Amino acid sequence: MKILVAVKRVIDYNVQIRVKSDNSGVEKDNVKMSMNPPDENAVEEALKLKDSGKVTEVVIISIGQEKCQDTIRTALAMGADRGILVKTNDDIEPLAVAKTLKNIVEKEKPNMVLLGKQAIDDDCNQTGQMLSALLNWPQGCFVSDLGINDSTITISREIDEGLEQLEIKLPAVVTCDLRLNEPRFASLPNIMKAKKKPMEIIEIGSLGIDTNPKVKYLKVEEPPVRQGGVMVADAKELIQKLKYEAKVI
Amino acid sequence: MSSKLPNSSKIVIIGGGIIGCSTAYHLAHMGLEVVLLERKKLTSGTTFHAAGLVGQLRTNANITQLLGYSVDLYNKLEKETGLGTGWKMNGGLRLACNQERWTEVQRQTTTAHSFGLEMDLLSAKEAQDLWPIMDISDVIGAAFLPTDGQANPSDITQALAKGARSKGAIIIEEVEVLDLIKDKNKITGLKTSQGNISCEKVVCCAGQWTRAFSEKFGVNVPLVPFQHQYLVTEKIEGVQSNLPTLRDPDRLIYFKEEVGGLVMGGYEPNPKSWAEEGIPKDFHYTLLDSDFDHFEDLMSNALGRVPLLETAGVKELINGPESFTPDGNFILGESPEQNNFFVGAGFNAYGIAAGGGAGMALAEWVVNGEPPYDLWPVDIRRFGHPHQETDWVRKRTYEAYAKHYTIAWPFEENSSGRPYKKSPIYEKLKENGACFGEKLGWERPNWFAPKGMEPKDQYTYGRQNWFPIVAEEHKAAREKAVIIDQTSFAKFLITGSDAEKALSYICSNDISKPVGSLIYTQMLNERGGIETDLTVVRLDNDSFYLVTGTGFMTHDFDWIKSNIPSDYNVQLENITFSHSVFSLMGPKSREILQASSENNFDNENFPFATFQNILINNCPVKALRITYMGELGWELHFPIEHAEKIYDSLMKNGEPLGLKNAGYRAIESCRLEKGYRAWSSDIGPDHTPLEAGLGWAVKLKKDIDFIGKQSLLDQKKNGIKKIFATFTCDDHEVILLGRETIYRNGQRVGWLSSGGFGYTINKSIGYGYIRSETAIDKNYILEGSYELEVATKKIQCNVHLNSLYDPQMLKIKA
Repeated sequence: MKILVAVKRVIDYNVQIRVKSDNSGVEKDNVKMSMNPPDENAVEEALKLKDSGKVTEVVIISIGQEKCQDTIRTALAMGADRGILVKTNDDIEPLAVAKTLKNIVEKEKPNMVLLGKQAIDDDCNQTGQMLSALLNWPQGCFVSDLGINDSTITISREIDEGLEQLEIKLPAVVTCDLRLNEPRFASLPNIMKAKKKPMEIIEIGSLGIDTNPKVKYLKVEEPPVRQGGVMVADAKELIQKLKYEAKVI
Repeated sequence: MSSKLPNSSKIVIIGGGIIGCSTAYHLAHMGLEVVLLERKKLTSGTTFHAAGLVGQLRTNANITQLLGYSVDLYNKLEKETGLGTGWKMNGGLRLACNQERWTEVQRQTTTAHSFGLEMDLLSAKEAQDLWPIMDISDVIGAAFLPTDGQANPSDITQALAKGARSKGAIIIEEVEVLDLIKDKNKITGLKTSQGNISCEKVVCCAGQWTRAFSEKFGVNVPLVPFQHQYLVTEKIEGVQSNLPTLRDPDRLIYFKEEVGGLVMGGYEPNPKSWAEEGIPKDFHYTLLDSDFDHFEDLMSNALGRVPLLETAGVKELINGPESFTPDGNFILGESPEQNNFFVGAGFNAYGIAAGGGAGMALAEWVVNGEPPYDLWPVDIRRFGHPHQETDWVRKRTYEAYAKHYTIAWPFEENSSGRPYKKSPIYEKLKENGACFGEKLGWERPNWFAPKGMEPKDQYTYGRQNWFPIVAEEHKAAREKAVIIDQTSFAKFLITGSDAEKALSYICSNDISKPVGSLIYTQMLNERGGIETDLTVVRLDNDSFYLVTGTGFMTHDFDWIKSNIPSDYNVQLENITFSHSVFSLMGPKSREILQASSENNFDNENFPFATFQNILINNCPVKALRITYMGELGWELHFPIEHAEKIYDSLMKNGEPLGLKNAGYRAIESCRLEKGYRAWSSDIGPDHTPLEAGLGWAVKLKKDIDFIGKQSLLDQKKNGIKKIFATFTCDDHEVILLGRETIYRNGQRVGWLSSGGFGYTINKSIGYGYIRSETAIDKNYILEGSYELEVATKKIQCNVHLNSLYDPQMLKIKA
């Protein structure tokens, strides 16, 4: 069994996001980048399945600039087998990402595609669902537990009412929640060995996919600065303030 | 925590990293009104990503003392402020994996002993007992400093900030300083993003932003950011919280314990500079992309040392830009370009170790106008022209970073950014086999390789390849004559109707001598310490020519400028770059000059310590009869364009008489024999002329007031507690380099300020102060029996108070 895991290179979650001075977007130069955290869960889950012997190959794919190889290498250092970079210098939207993944899936023929539930940069939460529709595969989203059988998987997913448990036929698209597992850290020897693992680089233009953006960004702005809080002496003062200053009760 | 910008404060600090907060802490504890302004948040520039190792040993006693102060402060800070600092005194280990490194570590251990810092040599096995998870198959030995430690950089900074606030300092975040407000050349305030604040003094502790910020006001702070990486592992079995910090210089790496795992960083030989086009706007709390490829060699090195890293997970590889400097030392003090503008920056990734002490020293500097003790290695006045050029600064800093953990060889020269400044006869000297050294950008001949030998230093802790060559140059100076290109000397002209009055006030020797006189003098601070020593030539009634060491140009010019009373009619001019200097030294020098000039060089016509305008090959020359080698000789000073003609004349006339080219290493050997002190090592702001044995050059008996006079009079009355002495070793194998420990009757009493070899007396020579708790005199010195600790071994030596060579000055006055 083979798993394809899609990973995205995003601004590190620790970094204070800065808006570009011309409001055209977010500053990505001179900033620490790393793997989108839920994607790490996806990689970890694939590797766990491989560790258990149920999966024989874990292939990592990322779409983006040359530097995305670093992100793929991170997954390879964790234990994945090989990487594919679909290279583009443009920002591409979830639909184009899904179409690109579909293209690769058709070539690689994995039994399952694992993705993070969403990326922490644009929070779209669309790619997995779109990919499932394009492939006409079943989908399991926001998965917090995953079990594998011969031709199906059982999943738990968080919904408003609690946990929903489903059995899905393979091949399937699964998007991973942060609760799914605790991603491993790579060791030094594995970080070094990852450099030698195979990495295929494909120009996005060669796939014949329309990646033109459908959404136009007008302006990116900093959120308004939050006013500092005040300490109140007791509940009475709090109620006073809520009533007469904030006028919310 | 942010409060509103006050209208005024006596002192304003710019920058809320550890240095700014430590300076605020100390100023507030001294009872001063101080405001600290931080562009973003405290620690958000560089401090937050520092690794936090606190080592103390440096090659200079006072800098070591400064770092020792940090440790003392961190020991008590948590108790004082109630905030955790993460400080623990878990000790520091340093490994040696080859014989030369082992010698270096032994010499460092002796240096530590000299400075009163505990440091012990360990076998590889003993080191492993302290650091059980390391492999020691390649370790020869180690040294352990039990009082070293580590701290949490952000926490310790917050604690300093709290300590500062509790004593009245005001700390404001999210306010950007935009400009200095000046009245003529006097600082009167700052323009900020929240309005203006008036102040008298500004202290810039803006880390890697300092260079660009200060440049706007003409202040040069030579630092550039480089990327520094360290990785953080998961918990590792066997890593205890008391694990000492570990430096493994032969593998270029360091380790410290952090929450049960390891932090491993290092200094790669090919560092990456950062933000060459300027630091991005709003850069704060930001790390750079992890660069595993660049870190790979260090990772391999680390795996060899700690096999458990094979399986430990790497949580992250931190890549943060930090400011580094061309000589690896930080930058402290009042800028020579702008009064009342102070700088504390460029900490070369040891800002946490230095923070406590540097803040204390900077605070004292701000308040008293001078540091608490001599801090020359970090003094902002140590720089020169090359340091103004960012490209040069970056090249030299690259080298300094790359050499962070390489063996610091004796006599080691830098190779980057050279040649920067050449003497007019540089090419001729090169043709003659010169091996050049560099000082403040100047190329200077160190020694001359004979035909067939490559003019290149071969570094070792043993005798180096030039040792026998310099012996020949030394011999030529003593028996025949040598010519040495000393064009790099700093040279100033002081003119004006108050020139004599001004110099009388700032010089400790009597300079009110007749025109044509040449006077060796010091300039003292109020404590009587020697701020500079130089040669003063009276050219005319209102005109004096001053000659001082190459490296001291910026410092000495600043000292003179700032200490001449402002209402005196005096003009001070730096003519270093328009004048060349050749030193013609040795018993044959008179004959050579006589053959090259129409002037009369007889002793009666041209006695010692006088100057005359002469002509050599029709070129005008100021001839100064003076020596730093202890021989008959002249320093020839002339406009730079005549250099080749004069050199050719002297060589033509001199070669038949045995004239040879010589370099600075021969000067060093000769001056050690003759007893001449060198400023910055043998004498400096912490040493008075009385302690240094230079009382003969002080006009105490004359009724002339001068800076430092009262302190010297007091000292004369109360006695001195340290005395400069010379030491010699009969054992030829002993190599003295400086910093060896001096023992008197078995008691540690000081360390060598200089060390070298005297070829005429055929002995190793060391200089140093013998210190005592109570007043001492010459008899005390001569009555003792002495040993020197050299690379941890004690060696018998002899003490001397007089010159080892020609104490009657017969040669000089011949």
